[in-house]
Amino acid sequence: MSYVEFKDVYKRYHMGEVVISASDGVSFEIEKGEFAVIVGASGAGKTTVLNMLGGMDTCDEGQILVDGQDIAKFSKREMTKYRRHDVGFVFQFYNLVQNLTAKENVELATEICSDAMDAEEVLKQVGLGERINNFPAQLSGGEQQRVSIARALAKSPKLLLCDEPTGALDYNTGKTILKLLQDTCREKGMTVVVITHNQAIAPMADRVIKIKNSKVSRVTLNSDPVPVETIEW
Amino acid sequence: MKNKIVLNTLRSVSETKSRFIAIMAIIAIGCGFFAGIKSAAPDLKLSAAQYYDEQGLADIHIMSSLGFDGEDVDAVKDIGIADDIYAGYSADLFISGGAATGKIVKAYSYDPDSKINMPYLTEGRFPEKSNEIIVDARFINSPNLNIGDTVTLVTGDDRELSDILRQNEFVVVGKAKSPVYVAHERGNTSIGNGSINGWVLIPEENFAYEVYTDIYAEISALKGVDPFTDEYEKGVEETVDIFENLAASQVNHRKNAVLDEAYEEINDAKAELEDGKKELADAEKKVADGRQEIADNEKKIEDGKKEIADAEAEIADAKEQLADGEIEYNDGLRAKDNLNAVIEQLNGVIAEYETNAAESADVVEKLANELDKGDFFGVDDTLKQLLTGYMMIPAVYDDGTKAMSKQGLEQYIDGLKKNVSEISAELEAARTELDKAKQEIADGEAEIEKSKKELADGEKEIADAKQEIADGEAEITDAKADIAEAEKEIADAEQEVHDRVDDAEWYVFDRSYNPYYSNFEEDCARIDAIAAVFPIFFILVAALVCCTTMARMVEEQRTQIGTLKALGYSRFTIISQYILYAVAASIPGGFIGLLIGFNTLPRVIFVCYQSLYTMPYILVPFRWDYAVGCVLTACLCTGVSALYASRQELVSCPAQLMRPKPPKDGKRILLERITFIWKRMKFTAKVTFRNLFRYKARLLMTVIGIAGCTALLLTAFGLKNSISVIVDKQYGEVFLYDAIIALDSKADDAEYAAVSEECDKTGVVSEKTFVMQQSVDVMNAETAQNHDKDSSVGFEAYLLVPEDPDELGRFIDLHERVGKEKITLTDGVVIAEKLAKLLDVKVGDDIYFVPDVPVKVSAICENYTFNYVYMTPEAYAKSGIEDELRSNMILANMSDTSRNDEFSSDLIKNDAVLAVSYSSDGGSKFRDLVQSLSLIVIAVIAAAGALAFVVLFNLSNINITERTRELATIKVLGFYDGEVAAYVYRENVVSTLLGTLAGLVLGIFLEKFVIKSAEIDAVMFSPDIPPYCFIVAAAMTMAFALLVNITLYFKLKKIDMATSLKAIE
Repeated sequence: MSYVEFKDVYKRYHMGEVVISASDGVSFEIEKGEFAVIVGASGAGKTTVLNMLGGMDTCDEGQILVDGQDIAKFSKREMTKYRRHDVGFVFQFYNLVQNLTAKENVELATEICSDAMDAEEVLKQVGLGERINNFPAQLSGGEQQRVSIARALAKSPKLLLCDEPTGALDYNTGKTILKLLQDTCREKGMTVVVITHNQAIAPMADRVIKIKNSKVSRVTLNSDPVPVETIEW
Repeated sequence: MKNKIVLNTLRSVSETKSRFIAIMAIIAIGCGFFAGIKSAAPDLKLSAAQYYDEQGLADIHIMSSLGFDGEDVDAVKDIGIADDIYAGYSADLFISGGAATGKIVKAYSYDPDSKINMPYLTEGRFPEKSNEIIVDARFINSPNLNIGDTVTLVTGDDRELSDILRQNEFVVVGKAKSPVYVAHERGNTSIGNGSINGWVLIPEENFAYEVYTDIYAEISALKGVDPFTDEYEKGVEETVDIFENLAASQVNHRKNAVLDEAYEEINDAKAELEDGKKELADAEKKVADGRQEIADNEKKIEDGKKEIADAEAEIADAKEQLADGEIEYNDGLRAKDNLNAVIEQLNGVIAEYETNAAESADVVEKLANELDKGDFFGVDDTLKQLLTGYMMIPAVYDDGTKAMSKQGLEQYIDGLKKNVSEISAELEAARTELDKAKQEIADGEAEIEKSKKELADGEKEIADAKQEIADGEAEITDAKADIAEAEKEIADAEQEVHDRVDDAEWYVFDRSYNPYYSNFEEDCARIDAIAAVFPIFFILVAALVCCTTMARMVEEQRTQIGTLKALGYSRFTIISQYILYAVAASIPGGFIGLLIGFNTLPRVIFVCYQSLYTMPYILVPFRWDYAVGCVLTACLCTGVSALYASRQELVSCPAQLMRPKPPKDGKRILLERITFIWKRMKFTAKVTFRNLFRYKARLLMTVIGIAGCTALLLTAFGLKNSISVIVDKQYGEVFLYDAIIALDSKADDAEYAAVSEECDKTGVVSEKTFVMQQSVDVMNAETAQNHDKDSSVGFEAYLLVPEDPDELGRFIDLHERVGKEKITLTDGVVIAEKLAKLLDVKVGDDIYFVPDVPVKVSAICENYTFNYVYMTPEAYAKSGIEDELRSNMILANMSDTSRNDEFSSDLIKNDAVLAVSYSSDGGSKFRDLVQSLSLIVIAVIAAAGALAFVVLFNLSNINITERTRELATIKVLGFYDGEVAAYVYRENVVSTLLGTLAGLVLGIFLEKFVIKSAEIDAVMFSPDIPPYCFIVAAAMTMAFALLVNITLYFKLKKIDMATSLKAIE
């Protein structure tokens, strides 16, 4: 059994009398320690998948198994617990609390997590050892995203979910962030799921899940992923 | 083009309903509260004015101790300043019958044609027949009467009811409120226990008085003038002067009339007295005559008695003579019989001798013996010789001798016979004479009997006469006493009428003499003072909240502003849409608030005041002046805040505006620099403080809003406490005495002693002391120097001088408020705290009763109601007050307060006693006021709650919407709902705490300010705010905050995590 498994997952939104299927029988698997990329055009339904995988939304039908647990059957509280302990979230717009320093932003996550890593340690790992006491406004976009990653990693999640992590960054910064993610995956054996519309980064992933029209259109296993540095877009 | 802007504004209204409603609500609360409170006093006054006007409350009420006759009334009419005049009657009487038996009422006359002082019917109808009455709808300290009750009015003292009323049994047909009695207080009287329980209105014709007791007048010049204005006051003053001038001349007329009438009676009485005296003199003369006669008669009787005694003696003599006569007569008879017997014997002898001579010797002897033996009357020796001769001689002698003897004997016998007949005749005569004498004696005796009887009768007559005279004398004595009494009575009556006339005066009262009339105005002024402070908060907070809300809106719509700008709309057009929005919210919000405020708050306050005042209704007009003012202010507030909020957006260029506004940068806060604290703080605490100081303006606003709420609550509770403890403190800690007996200072020492004795006799007074209390005008050094002789510039106070300063402590506890240090009355004066404040003097300063005579303040004592100055009799002598020191009050401690009524009515009968009042009564009146304050406190609590709620909710709401992304993110990070809430709440809690603390401090000042505004010169509210007020105010604020947080919790729960993924707008 795979570490992450979507089995015929359906998610429907009711817009008045019209029913829109955001996930129309989505099924895929991700193995532990894999760097997976879920790719698809805008509106293809990848965010819905992300929401469901991240424990931010429920599905209407099907199973979502993470480390053997069916999170689709979780109650609201179990869902929060799942998010709290098992999922690290990296946002497109970093979503740092502006009023907190880099370290404090990390602590915001570790504070509520029992087996969390030391905030300063994590920040050093993501290369921000010098800037732990800076406020987000004092950091560049890339640095902010690093804080965001550090925040996600600090609680040692089972799953690192990244929503367009480079979407708000320039090309080079985006690359370094992707590198950080890839390195984290490789070095820590962390299961990383990156959601993006950018097809170009697919080669760096172990597994590419392509979503189209609310369905998984193709899953590609990449036996030999390339380092980020070699990718260009 | 413009229309689209308007359309857009209207759309944005419907899109941002909650914000629009929030602005409307805060404006409504602000306007409503402000206008409502502010209009309360004017509404009350307006209602009172209308009530007075409709019921025709007299402007002037004139009374006179001599009453008024038609001429007086005409004189009042002739002045021509009165529109309407009613001359009527009134009397204080006891009720008997119905539930109010034994209570005292003031009975007024009712004339259906007069429109003055008409009662306001609450039930039933006006009287139509002479035995129908209207009664007070609410009796004080007494059960009420009901329609259909039959009541009897009695005097209860020595007044003759027939002098007052023609009939005294009435049927209650209506119940009413009287404009004369605005409060639950009916005034005082000289009968019963001294306080009136209610009034009744009796058809005029029932009154038997010869003169009117009251004149009421409505002044033309004051018609339609608001009675609460200076104009009215001035008008009334002038009117009073006019009437007083009239009184000065008119009272003499009445004096003369009374004197004339009185003297007519007095003279009649005097004439009668003279007649009486004359009669008495006659009677006395008669008695004297009678006495003389009796004396004469007594003498006569004495004489009579003597005569009788003489007569009796005569009769006794006569009887003796008679007895002697009888004996003589009987002797005569016997002698006659003897003679006859002798004769017979002689004859027998002779015969026998003739026939039987032989034996003659024997016979002679026998005869001689017999003769010797027999005591024959008239038988003498001659006979014996003869006989012997006759007998002895028979034979021896010749016949001749014999014959001669015989013859001699025979001659003798004949002599004897002749003798016998002579004796018989003599006897016969004696018999006749004796019988005559007997008859005479019997007659004499009868006559004596008769005389005796006559004498006895005479004596009885004399005794009767004497009795009669004694009676007559007693009568005369009585009559003399009567005459003396009558003379005294006449003298007294004369004195009395002179006294009455000398004291006679017209008393001209304006409305302020109606019980509690002026208090009403003072209470209105008090509301006004409070109204001046409280609502400003609401306006301020409303402005702040609007400002924040509008700022948030402008911020949210910066892209739109940018777009519009880019499209070429002018700045003014863009601003106008926000101003339009603000005004669109303000105008309806304002009017809704005004409608509610105008209608509710004055009514609430009216309801509060109904426990004190009897006004039957309240008018709550929509006050356009306030309304326009409020709404304009509201529009200005919101409009300006919209302008202020959009100022930055408007100067920015479109491109800048269309880019998302960078979130406010995080910054280090001051607290972080104090590392030893910061380090020790928990992470969450750090976050909280960071966030708190991130939006300083918002924090400030929250703190202000909360502080306002707390301050309002503290003020409300503090105010209530300040007022409510006055009674307990004044009558529990300062005034320890239970009763005051006011004395007539004109009474003499003996009368005082009598009152004192009477007090002791009742057994309910445990101790008492005499004091003098008088009203004085107190000045400080400055005013005393600049004293203007014609005006009173000082403060009115009661000067209290105890007869024995050492005793005072048991009745009035003089002590300092702070520290409770006891004050002993020695040199100088002790003055009430409020007076010291008013005069601005300290211990050691001088105060003046009379300019140029300083008196040193030796201490300042705790005191709440009225202003008192205490001094010793020695100090009084130096105070410069000219009046002679004369005690006029007794302070008494009672051992049994359950018999107060009885005690009062006993004591008030004493002429030297003017009134008896009890501390407990003074207290209970005040407690009503405090009761009424509770409702105001509730209203303030509601308002404060609304304020706290709106502020906290609005600001928290803005806080949350502004930080939706952040909150969504921490949700994604796996914060539980409770933790998310706590994340926000911690800030609310801190700001609430800060606000509460600030509010408690602010509240102290606000309370002091309100108290200062609400206080009148004669009262000091307790300036201390007890700890419980702080606790309650803080706790209630917290409770409001909690309520807001609870409602916010649901909003927090609804935040969609997906927001965290969205691009920043």
